[in-house]
Amino acid sequence: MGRVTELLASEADPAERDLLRKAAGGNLFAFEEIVRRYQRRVYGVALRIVRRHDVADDVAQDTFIRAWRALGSFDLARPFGPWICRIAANLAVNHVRSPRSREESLPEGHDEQPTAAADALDDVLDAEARAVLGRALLALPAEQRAVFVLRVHEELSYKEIAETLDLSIGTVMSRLSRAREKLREALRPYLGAPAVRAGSGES
Amino acid sequence: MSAHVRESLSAYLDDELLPAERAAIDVHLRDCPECARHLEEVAALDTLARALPAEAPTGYFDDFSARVRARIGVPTPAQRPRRLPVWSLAAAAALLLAVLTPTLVREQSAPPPAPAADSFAVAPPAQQQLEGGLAGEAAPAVTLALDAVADKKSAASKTREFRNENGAEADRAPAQEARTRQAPKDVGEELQALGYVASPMEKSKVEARDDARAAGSQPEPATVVAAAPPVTPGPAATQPSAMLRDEASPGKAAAASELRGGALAYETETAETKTAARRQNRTADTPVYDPFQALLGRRVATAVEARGLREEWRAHALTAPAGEADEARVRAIEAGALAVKLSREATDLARLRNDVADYVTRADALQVKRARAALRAAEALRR
Repeated sequence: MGRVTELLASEADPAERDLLRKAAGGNLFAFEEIVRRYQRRVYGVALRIVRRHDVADDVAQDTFIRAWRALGSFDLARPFGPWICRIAANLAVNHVRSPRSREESLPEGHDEQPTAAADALDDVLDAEARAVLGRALLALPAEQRAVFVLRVHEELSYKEIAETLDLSIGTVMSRLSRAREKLREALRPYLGAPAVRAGSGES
Repeated sequence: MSAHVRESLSAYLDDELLPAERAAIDVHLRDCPECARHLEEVAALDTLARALPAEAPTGYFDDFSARVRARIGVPTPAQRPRRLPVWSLAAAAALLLAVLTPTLVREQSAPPPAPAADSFAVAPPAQQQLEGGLAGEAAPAVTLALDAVADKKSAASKTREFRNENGAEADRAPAQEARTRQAPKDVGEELQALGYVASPMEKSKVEARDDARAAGSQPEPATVVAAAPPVTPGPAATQPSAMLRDEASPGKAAAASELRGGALAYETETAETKTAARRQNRTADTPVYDPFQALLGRRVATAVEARGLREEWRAHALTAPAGEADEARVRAIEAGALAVKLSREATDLARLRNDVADYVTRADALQVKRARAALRAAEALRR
């Protein structure tokens, strides 16, 4: 499935295709432009999984470096976004699993502080619900969090998540269900809020 | 009954159920307000989660791509020791190939008249050479050479200097299989499936440096030619300014020297590897290598080096005994403050704040004041 917008954007952006071709040919400056285009998204995937800026920074940089190395094998006909996000998700999950990450204690979600700049979202979602959700996400096992991030934020299909994290589709399904259940439990008091409910009228 | 349905609601929401399963749930939802509500809550949860910002510190992305480029151009200390094997392996293989198969290489490398715009187009030529070499007749030579290397005393005087520099890494060189075997969980099988190949481009600079040194003591033109082309930007290079932005041609030399600075920092960083440890021993003439002392003695002149030192202290803290680890953590913070001083970049300051916050909240932190002082000093600089 992937992101429909992503697919369309990639189809419709010959300039990006051109950059990718040059980058695959070894042009580092073309690649740097690609980095600029995808840095926020890659960082976002990493941060949502590892939950720390400095670690997400490492993961994001590593992601692009791995992508640069593997670019020769990347099929230019495919959208680049999902591909690089998979690399990011992989590295992020591996990092959380690694013994190194245990040395670095997880601070209480300080990376999830909403910025002072108030936007329309602040009208809809109150800060408390976000704080509760931030803590609940932090409390999830990393594996569940990764599945949740790839599904909810990156909109990958179960099959794509399974491929990315090397799991069975059944495992993806059950982890996602468990993650959502824990988050739902934590957020119950807020989920009934009319404003939130208004935002979820899609199903 | 309804509990059973609830377990499927997540997949129902994602439209990942088989048509029959989906239809059954549709039916159930019509008669079960509880499950319907449950579904609504899960959907609301997703919406709320999507609205959560994944904010980076202000200014973080300003130089992100430049940092990535710098790391591709030259492996900087930001690379963790645990990843060293992956590239060093290929580096060693490339270097070995170059040394051991001069004829092969000489044939392939008619002097590269690197056209201006492609002077940074480093990867493919080098990669092809390497892969060609590995796939071709060179492979047996490599294996043989590695067997020889395994025995440090075994003579082969001609490559003695080279082996001193690279022996430890060469142990791991036998290309593909070894990489597959060793390439740890770290990378993940997915990446291998994606065709991940440790690219030689990062190594070329390091190699070239080693080569240059080696060439000084024992002229080996083929070696230099083989590893050199990707290294130095062509002198006539004028880069497309749109891409380069603030680093357009005039600043190029500066950028290049910055990169070399990174390479130097990196060189010391790899001191954690046996190879470099041996090198260290040779120069310092001490029988035991003490990474702590080595780090204490490090001089830092650029922000890149300061960041490198910071990472090394961090890495050292992971393996050092408790008291030393605490000192290493604080030293990492001080190196981070130094990076702020040298770069005046918001990113470095943000990182420092993070590091200090992490440190002072540790139960075993012994030098909270010192850590805070470093942060205060750095904050003052930015004002």
